[in-house]
Amino acid sequence: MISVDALDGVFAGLGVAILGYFILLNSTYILITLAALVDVRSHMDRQRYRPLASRKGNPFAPGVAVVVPAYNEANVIVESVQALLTLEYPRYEVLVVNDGSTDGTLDRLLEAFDLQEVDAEYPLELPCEPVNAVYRAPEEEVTVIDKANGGKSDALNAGLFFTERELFCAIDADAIIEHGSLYDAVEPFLEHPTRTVATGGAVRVANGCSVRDGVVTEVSIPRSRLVTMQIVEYLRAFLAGRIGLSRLNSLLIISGAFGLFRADVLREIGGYDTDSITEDMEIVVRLHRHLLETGEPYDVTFLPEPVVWTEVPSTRGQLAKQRRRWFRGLLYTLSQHRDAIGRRQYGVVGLFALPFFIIIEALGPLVEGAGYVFVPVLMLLGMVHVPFFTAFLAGAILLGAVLSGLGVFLEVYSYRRYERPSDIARLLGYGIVEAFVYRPWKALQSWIALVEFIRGDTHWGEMVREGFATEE
Amino acid sequence: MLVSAVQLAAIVIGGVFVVLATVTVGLSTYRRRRDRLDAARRRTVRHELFTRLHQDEPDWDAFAAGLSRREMSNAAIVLERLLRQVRGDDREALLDAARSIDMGPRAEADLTASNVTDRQIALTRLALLDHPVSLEQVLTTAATAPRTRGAAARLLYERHDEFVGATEWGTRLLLWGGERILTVTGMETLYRLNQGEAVSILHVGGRNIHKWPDDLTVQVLRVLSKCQVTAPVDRLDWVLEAGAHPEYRVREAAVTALGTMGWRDDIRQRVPLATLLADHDARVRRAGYRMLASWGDEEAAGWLERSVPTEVDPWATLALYRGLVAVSGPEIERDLDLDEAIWRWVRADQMALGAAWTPMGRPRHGAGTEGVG
Repeated sequence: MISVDALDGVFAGLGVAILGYFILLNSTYILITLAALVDVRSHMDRQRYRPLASRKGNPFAPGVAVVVPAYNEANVIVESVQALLTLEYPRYEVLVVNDGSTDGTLDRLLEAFDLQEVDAEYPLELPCEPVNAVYRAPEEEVTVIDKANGGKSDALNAGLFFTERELFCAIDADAIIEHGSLYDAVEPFLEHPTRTVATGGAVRVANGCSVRDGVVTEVSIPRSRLVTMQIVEYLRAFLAGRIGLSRLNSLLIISGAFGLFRADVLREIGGYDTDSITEDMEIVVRLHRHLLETGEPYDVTFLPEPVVWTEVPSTRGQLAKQRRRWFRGLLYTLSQHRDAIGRRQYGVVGLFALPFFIIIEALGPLVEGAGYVFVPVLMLLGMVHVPFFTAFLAGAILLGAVLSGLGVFLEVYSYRRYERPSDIARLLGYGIVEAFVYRPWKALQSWIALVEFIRGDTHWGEMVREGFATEE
Repeated sequence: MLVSAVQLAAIVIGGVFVVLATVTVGLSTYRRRRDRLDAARRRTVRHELFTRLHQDEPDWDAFAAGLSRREMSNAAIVLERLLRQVRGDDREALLDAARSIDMGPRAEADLTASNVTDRQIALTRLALLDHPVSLEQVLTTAATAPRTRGAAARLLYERHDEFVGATEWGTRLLLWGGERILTVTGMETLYRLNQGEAVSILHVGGRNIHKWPDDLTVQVLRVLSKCQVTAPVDRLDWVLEAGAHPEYRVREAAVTALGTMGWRDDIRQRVPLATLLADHDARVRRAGYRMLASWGDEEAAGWLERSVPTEVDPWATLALYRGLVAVSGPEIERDLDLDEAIWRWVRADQMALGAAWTPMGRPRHGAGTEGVG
């Protein structure tokens, strides 16, 4: 029989452990946010200076292949490619990889761009599902690779191993890149030509925004509470999280919606892992490892100013699928690279970044989810000191709101895509509200994803898009 | 005790949130209002400017006298933007307008501002204006912080007629000490300064390349590849030596730079083609094939043909065959033991692209085979 004292001791120990974890988690977030604040402050000061050089005619701009994996995107593909062709950048091609679409995506492209089939088999090895044909547009910088379905990573590999351009830019078919963003993302490759291997831009939520000719013309927050919660999340993740992690040389994710890489280095590491369901994280971790193992000095940089707008899930079902996939992908990547965790050989990536993703990003929602179950049970058993717990809960919620608030503050202080004060107030309010409904729900999804991961579930789940509000 | 501490912490965090939320909403409101007012002021200023611009006697003094302090700073912003774009007689009129609001003296005063960005902005405005500024002032400002050197060099380029040795000084400012890499603007300015004749780059490079970090060496070689080079061939020794640099990107950049100088026989004779085309890194060999394709003559064709049996890297083979097609055409009579699949692809690709095809890429954006520059 376990004595009451022993049980009390166990719970007291557990309480201290949870408190310690809570302090560690929030201290880390605060450290990262402070790093972001320092970075943004200096960035904003420098941004006031507009040099006289011309961007359009820069003779040194390296060639970029903008690779668009497309699976059943017939409704948006032509508009997407047309929008991509208007980017403010002197040397690039749009390379669409039709990943076995069954909805006429290829036909739309053939018709819109007068594509000519290259009458020969591509001679080099493409590590992807079989390629049916390659098409070139004589009048536009458009190439289409038509291949059997193999998934997003497989399609990206087709583009990566096909292009002869120096830089490889992966984007989503429905993403809207702001006109100058490609140039912004390329700048580090020009300024540090031997060091820079990858740059990533900020992803922003397009739901509720007005779009005209592939350009976001009016930024608004939609009525949907679910989407607004995600806007707060994205601001926190991109403006605070990724800027801070980048400053600490710990950036492990470059969003698949918009990332730029040196093509030869990506090919060197074998391209995208087709078993991964979050290929954007896995490839960056592998890139870090490869370059650290070879001892080459390198930079992987997050840039907050190149912006890509993307549609986020607007229903709970879609969002649940997406978040479970992200969590399973996180667990997959961490398990694939577990041998690098805590190893000095991998520098800050091994000693800080990977442990951060395990302890904070992977364990965090699981511990939180466990708390939602155990604390009420313990309360019923009279084993929780209610005044302490109430104060702790209030502090935790408010600390979460402060961290979200700092993301919103960074937006107002710096990049200001959301200009209306009423929108800002709403976003701040959602920083508190999310603690009551959204975070418990996300914690639940993380637990479900953990079970799915253990069962070996690797499905993507189909994303249904509503499309943008298009101005005529 | 612990409970009180946690309660106190919760209250403090709550207070922090209230302050943060208030500051954030307040800042948002203030900036939105300021932006709207400034936008309105700029519209008014722009309208007034364009109205007066086409009058016989614009009376810019009256224009300046009618502006409030805030309107004056907005007028400076509008004029700066216009001066970046407008040329000819209208520009002269805009310079008169700038003079009327003392843009030049204000910018000159800002050369000693404590904030580096303010000094960069001042140099940029002076680059656009005709307000007298001495070389000594430019160099003194450039000496205050590395970030100001690019803006100072740009000023020397934009107003090169007013300074003796503008190109030399500008180049030296940009490559000062050789410790810092160039910004994108810095690269562009270095190119603008030297595009007519790259004497200054060759001079500074010859003396300092051994001190430069690899990034800077690559940047300077890329700039050089776009410049006109008529200097004696011995000035290019350091470029030729860069072709044997341990870092492959430096070698690649050196080959690209030498490629653009191929019209000069004396340089061609010095390029160690056999070594470059046998480089252990396929990316350097690809740059070599592109170089030969751009030379486009019989000698280049000979080198390309001799590389066919030795080239084993498929990517380099693609570049090699594209070079062959560019130099010798799609029908090669000699028996070259070509890889049939790659050869077929290169020719079919050319057919599909039709008139848009060139060995160095498509005309508008440069698709197809290319590397850097």
